[in-house]
Amino acid sequence: MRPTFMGFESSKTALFASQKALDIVGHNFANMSSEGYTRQRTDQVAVESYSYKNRVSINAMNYNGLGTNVNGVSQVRDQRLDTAFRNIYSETSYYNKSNAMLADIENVLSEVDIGIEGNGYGLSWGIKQMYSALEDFASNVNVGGDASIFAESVKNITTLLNHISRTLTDTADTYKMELQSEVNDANTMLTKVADLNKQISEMMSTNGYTNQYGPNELIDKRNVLLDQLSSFGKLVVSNNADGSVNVTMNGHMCIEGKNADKINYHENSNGTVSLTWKSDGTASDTDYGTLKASTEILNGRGNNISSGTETTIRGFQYYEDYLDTFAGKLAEILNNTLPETKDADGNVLTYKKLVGESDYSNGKISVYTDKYVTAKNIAISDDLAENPSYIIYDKNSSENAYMVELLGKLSINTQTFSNGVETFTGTFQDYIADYVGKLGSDVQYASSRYESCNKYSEQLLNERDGISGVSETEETMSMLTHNKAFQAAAKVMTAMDELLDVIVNQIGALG
Amino acid sequence: MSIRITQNSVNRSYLSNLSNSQYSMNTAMDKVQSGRAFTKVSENVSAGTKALNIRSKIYKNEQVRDNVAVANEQLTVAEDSLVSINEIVGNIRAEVLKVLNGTNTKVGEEIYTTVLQNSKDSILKLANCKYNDKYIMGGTNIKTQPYTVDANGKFQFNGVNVEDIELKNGKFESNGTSVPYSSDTYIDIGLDICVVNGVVDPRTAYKVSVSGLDSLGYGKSDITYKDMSDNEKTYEVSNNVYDVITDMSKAIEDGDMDKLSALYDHLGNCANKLATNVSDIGMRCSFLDATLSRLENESLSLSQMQKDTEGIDDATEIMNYMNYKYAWNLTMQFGSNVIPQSLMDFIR
Repeated sequence: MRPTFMGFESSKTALFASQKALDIVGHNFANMSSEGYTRQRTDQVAVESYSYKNRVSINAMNYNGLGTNVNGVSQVRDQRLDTAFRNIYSETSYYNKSNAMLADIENVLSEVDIGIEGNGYGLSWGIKQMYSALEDFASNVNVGGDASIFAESVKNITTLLNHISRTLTDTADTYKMELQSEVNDANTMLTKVADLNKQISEMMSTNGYTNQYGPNELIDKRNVLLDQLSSFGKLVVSNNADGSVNVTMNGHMCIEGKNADKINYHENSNGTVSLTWKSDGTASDTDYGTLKASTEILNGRGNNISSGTETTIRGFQYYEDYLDTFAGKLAEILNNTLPETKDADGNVLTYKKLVGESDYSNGKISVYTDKYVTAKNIAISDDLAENPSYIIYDKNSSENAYMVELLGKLSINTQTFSNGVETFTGTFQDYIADYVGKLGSDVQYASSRYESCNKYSEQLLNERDGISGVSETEETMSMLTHNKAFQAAAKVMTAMDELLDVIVNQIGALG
Repeated sequence: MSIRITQNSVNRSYLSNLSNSQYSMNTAMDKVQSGRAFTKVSENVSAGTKALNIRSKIYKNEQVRDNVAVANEQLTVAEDSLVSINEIVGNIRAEVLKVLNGTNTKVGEEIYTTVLQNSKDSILKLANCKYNDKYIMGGTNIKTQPYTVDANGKFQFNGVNVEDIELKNGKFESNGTSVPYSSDTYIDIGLDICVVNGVVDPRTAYKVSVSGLDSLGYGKSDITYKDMSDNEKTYEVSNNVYDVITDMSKAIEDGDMDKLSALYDHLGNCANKLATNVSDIGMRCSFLDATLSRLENESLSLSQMQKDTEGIDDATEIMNYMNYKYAWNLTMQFGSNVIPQSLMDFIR
């Protein structure tokens, strides 16, 4: 026997379900442009009436047509796409950061712009103006004016070396500061994800949420944070039964339920930086992501690494080495070619010193010509600065063999430049072309890898949107469908009412 | 496979394509405006490093051309002086021949003595010729007059008697000490200079100094002749033309025709050596002319190489720019269709 008011019940469920569905459609429309929003839908199922649910066996046919039930509001999300996107995003961020840093280094060490008389503004120009001054002076070795011009050119190239080296260090310092704030950001995100984990697991246990129907907005927030975190390093996310997630970054478990680890930033005495996990001191910048890009290039010394904190990438330290070797070689040649004193047989005893290491102390800059110079501290010697004619051998003579030798060494003959492990044999100009070429190749590689990874990550985002994004047409259709369903349910209810009205009011009424 | 298209993915694709299109357009515009194919080595690594090398060759070529031009002028001045000296020596030999063949009157002798003295003065002046306020035949002495005559009438080079000078191991020495300012001056003419311990490899740098000593003669020689009594006499005489002319003057004064004749022959040998040096300098000038011509051709080809490496083909780049601009305009116009009409726009 059919229950009397059963029709009302099934229509009522339909009305409730349609209203809820329309609420969710409205919610989807409202959040169409919200960052990280995953479209939601009501999971509507028909109500079952099977005897296995009851103690007493029932005649199922009387209980068919119980209406509909909304099991929950689910998110439509594909975990595989999330994982794929996070992986490629950490790679994209890695190459983006590398590209930016290397491009900045290239700006500092720029050599091929037009510059002064078509020779750029960098060390190529420095060599060129020294060469021109020296050629003029070699033809007029007794002329004080030409000696002054040559002395000026030596001063120019030493000042240029100081400036380029200092700018490179300053650029590295700005990236160190940026790394510190990135580490802070990462730590904040790790804490936030752990907090969200706590909230989600509490909601799951107290509000009757299940794994399938969880607190969707909180989960969306957490996913946005995990996407952002993936830019710092390679993430592996695993779900726990209580709704929280465990996150491994670069192979280290950094979020375990409600607990989050922290990254420590530390600058070492040799200028390198280290990023370690607070819990166990292991390195936190081991696999893709901006953290690895930053530390690799900040600590990068190429093949010339001399300590465990340096990396084999050609970074700031590597190019600093190039500049220091350039300065060292320049000083070696300038300070060991023009003779100062000779013995009776004409063998050279001491050489004139044209450059030295400058040291600022006691409010005074002194130049020491017997110490090892670097690009930062090379300076014109006091003798040459005070009197450019210091380099004139004899005011009455045009003998210029030593000047010609200096000319040859600086611009024509090959030298051996040793940067530690790597050595290079060529002229000064070839040496410049060598490091500029290496840097250009690295920038070009990082740029092209970034473009390709970026394209792929955009494609994954589009695929993800295809699953999780809100489609206006689809939602409109849902809206029309549920609207119609609501109207239909209301009509059914009216029809049921009329039926009951016949039964209640009209059957058995006489007259 | 049907794919759900959402508004966000459409927007994302549109913006990404627009930004790429804009980037291409801006890059093409930069190239057209600057005329340069790249401003950083990373834009084209091989061309960038090649460009640096070409620039260095260009400025070296320019400098070396200047050096060669100056050297050529300097050598030409020296050559002119030596040619004049050679003519004077030739004239003197002709005059002395007259003396040897003619009658010896006292008046005639005085005239010849004056002629010889004037010639010596001219030789001295020519030997001390200058280029750009520098003495060019004084070895490396450029400030003080290199050729002088001492109180005894001896021809001196930088204060040393020329007849006492000898060449030992490639260096000029006098009585065991080296002659001052007697080494050489070199310039770079693009032959990859090689200098070891202050000694220039002469195959790699060009010597511009002219040694008057080689041309005018140095050291001594012995001449033998038979006097009037048929006795054989040996006389040590300077190899320098000035000193030889001095000796000739004295021989004329003394009336020693035999000695004069021997001196006449000796002067002939000195003159041959002088003539050889003159043609040597002439050859050097020709070499410099040829080098200058070669360097000028090299400069033209280097400029062309630079343009090919660093420059752009205007027509191609302008076409590229126009294409990118057109594509960008189209993308912008298309923008209004990016937000497509959905079902929402059609329901009542």
